Amino acid sequence: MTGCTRTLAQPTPTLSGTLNLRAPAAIAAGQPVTLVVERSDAPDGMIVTLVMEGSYGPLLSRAPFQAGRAEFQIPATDTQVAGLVTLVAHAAAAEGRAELTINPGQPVDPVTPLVGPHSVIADGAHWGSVVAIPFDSFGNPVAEGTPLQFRIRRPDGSPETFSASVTHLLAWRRISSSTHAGRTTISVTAGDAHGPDANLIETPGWPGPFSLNASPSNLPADGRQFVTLRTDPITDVYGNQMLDGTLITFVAETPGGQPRLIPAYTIDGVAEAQLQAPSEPGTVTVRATLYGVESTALLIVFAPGLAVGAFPVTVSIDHATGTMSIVVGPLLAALGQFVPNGTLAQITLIGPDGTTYQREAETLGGLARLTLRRSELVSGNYQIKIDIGTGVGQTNFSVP
Amino acid sequence: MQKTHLKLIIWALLLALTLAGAWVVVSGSANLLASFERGAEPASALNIVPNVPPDLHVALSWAADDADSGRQIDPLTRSQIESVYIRAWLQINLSYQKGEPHGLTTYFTGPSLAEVSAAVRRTHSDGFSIEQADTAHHLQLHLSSAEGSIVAFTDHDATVVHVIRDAKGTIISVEETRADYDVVMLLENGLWHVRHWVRRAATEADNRPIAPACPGCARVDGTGLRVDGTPFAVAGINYYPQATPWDTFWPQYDPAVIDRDLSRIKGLGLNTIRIFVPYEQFGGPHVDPIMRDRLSDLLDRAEAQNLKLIVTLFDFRGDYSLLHWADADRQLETLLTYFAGHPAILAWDLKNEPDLDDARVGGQIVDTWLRHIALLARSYDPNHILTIGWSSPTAAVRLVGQVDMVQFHYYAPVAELATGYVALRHAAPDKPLLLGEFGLPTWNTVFPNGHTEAEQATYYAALLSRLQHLDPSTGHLAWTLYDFARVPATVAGRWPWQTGPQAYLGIIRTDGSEKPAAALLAPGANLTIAPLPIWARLLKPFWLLMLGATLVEIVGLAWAFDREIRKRRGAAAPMHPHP
Repeated sequence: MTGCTRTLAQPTPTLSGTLNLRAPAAIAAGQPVTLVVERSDAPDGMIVTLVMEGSYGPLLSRAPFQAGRAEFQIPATDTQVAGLVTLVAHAAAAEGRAELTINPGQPVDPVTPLVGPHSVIADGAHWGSVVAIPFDSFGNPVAEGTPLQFRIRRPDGSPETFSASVTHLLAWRRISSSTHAGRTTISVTAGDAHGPDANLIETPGWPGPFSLNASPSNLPADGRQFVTLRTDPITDVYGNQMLDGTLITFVAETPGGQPRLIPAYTIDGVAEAQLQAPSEPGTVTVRATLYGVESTALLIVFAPGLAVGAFPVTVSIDHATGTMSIVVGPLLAALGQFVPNGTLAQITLIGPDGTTYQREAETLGGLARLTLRRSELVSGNYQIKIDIGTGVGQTNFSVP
Repeated sequence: MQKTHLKLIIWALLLALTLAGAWVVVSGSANLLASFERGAEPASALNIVPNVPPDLHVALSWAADDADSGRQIDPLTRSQIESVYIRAWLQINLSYQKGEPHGLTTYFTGPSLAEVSAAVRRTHSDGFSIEQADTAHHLQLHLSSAEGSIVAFTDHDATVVHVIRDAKGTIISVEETRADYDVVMLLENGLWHVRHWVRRAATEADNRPIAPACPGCARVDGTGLRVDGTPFAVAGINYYPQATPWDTFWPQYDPAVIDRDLSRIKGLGLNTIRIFVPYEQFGGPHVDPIMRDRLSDLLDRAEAQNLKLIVTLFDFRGDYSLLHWADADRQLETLLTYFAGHPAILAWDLKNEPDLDDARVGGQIVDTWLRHIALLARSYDPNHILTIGWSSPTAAVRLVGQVDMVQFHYYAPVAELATGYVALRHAAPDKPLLLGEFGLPTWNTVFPNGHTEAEQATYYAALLSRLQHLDPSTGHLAWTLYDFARVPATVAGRWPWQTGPQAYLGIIRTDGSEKPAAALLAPGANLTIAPLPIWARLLKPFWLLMLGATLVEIVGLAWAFDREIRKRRGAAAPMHPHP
């Protein structure tokens, strides 16, 4: 019990019960229709309100009873949206119900194939889909079951055709990739309606095993020259070359050193990169990777490339200026030529008390020169050692 | 010496004031600085929009996807589609409410945007206004395209309700419709948009929850009820604890009081109680688990004492606005699915006296909402009986087809019962009827319409006798078990003549003793009561006051009359000359 509330007097309805609402079961979209509400005892002039609940909401019309009949002329503009329309007629407290289905018309241009994704791997396993939502002249999706023809031209030129029916407003099919990389073109027709084509790019799949080569392969370890690293043509398991611009990373590892990563891009399935010769002789291991696939390892041996053999070392003291000059050379490479200018000579001085001094000197014209101040050195006997590549020079001198 | 003391005191006071001032300055400055340092919540910078508006409680569920629905859809995409779809409906509803397309471009594209915008404009230009709300969607995915930018799904059995009014505001139509919607959505500029939707005949999605069995639940058998195969005649009472009625019942729920009261009800020979679930106190759409557990506790205790309960839902919920229907749905769903297997529940009473909302809301809207709730209730809990607590037999004729047991309340003279009852039985020839409330207050004061406890007993006996004579299978529940010391103003008002009768409708007095009517409610109770002499009906404070007032008035009038006569006589007497 929640107490009493005053109840407003309800207007006495002059009509109650059921109205006979006559409507066709179905019409075509855009077709005018006449709906009739009948009730023999309805007074003339009584207004009937007709609510037509369609796909996008209710639409209302009003008409008076005349001789027990109210007629609603629904114009073509009000029947353009397809779908189920629930009709409810109200007159005073009387009500009538019916249902009307508005069927969509025939498909019209354009029927656009919507293909996705834009590219798939051409491995016969990956797939894309083509979806078509054909519509009639009023923009309604066409009727369920409407057949659509899909036509496909594969990258190798072979044609395919299949059909699909409209279900839940659209028609769709899977398009499995072929094993030929390239462009697959798709078009779709619905009856006499046509549309533009769409493309599905079939790209090469994962690369197969590949190897590397180096040119030249016998550079000295001079820290100066470059080796050209090159992959073999890289293809997937079906022989499709990697797309131009595919990123490849060359990884060069020297014993005890940091790996060097050299990016490169494929052109015609081949990627190239330049590797600078190390300063130290040894073997460099090079691999290339793309998409997680690694090439076979390539071993490049860099032979000793700087000065070789023993070379003379001259020490002279200039008492006037108080300086001491150390001249190393001529420094010769394997072919008897001067080592490249700028090559660093590692000079080690061992003093009379065992103290070690490290110095560097750049070569110029096959000679490396180092000038020391006499005052920097204590008196006594010194040993001097020079290392350049595999070449060694050494001598002793005394500082008075 | 005294002067020195005074100086010291003054100095001490000055020092204390200085310290207090310094403390105020320092703490104030610190708080000010801290306030400047705090700034906004870092999370607020992200402006994370909830999937659906937090106050929107429209049901949305997914049935199993089609066997071949293309790309396997990921949970995030699915939630984005849900969000856009449910917001699209909301935006249509808001557009209808505004009378113009509002925010539709965010959710619709292509033909659907044009059509829905045109429909909204057309309604407005035709001079109609539409209030519309969707309450439930059951989606089934048919396609997610390979690149994930096209989805197609069917919204099965989508429930949409609308109220159409003419330019004067008169309701033309209140309809709840159910239909399927085939929907195509496209991902455009990173957002999903509805491109097409087409309405079709409703089909049920295959994802409805299965309610647990309830072998001990009451069943309808013709015009009667059965529990465990045995005929069950409802003889009961509407119940609030004496110290905590109405709005204080659930917040101050006390299991010990419940046990004591249930024992007492059982002792009176009754088998059923009717209770009320206040919508807001139970958390609205988000049912408070504490309240739910209290209801569960009450049901368990009733079950232990072999008592049945009629649980009245949505008490004190007067909001019928369409956009909030889904809120009520969620409370219904939570409670009914939770208690679907509880044998102590005799029936779900969907609303107490909803016809009293007709004047404020409109009877069509009330009826449509009740139909909606009844349909949902059956899907959430097919085990229990449904009823609606109409305020009179006349009102109970409404929605007979939607309930299992037709309930009416009766506070009118006994002599008028037969007319309403016969009409109701005619409207519901094959359903049990239940007198869900009846009573006579024993508030007997100087205000008119007071009744004595003897009159209450006489009324109960006469009413129940009449009811048995009309239909022995009709159950009954009196209002209420207790007299109350306090009645909230929200129940009946705040004036004494409003709260007084409400407080004294019980069959047990505030001191805990039973009124004579308490012995009349049990099945088979002796309803023969000696008729009250007429003078007994007059021996009431009001009539005694009236009598007293009348006597005083008569005496007063007589005195005034006598005085006037004397005055006139005095005026008419001849003047005697002075000797």
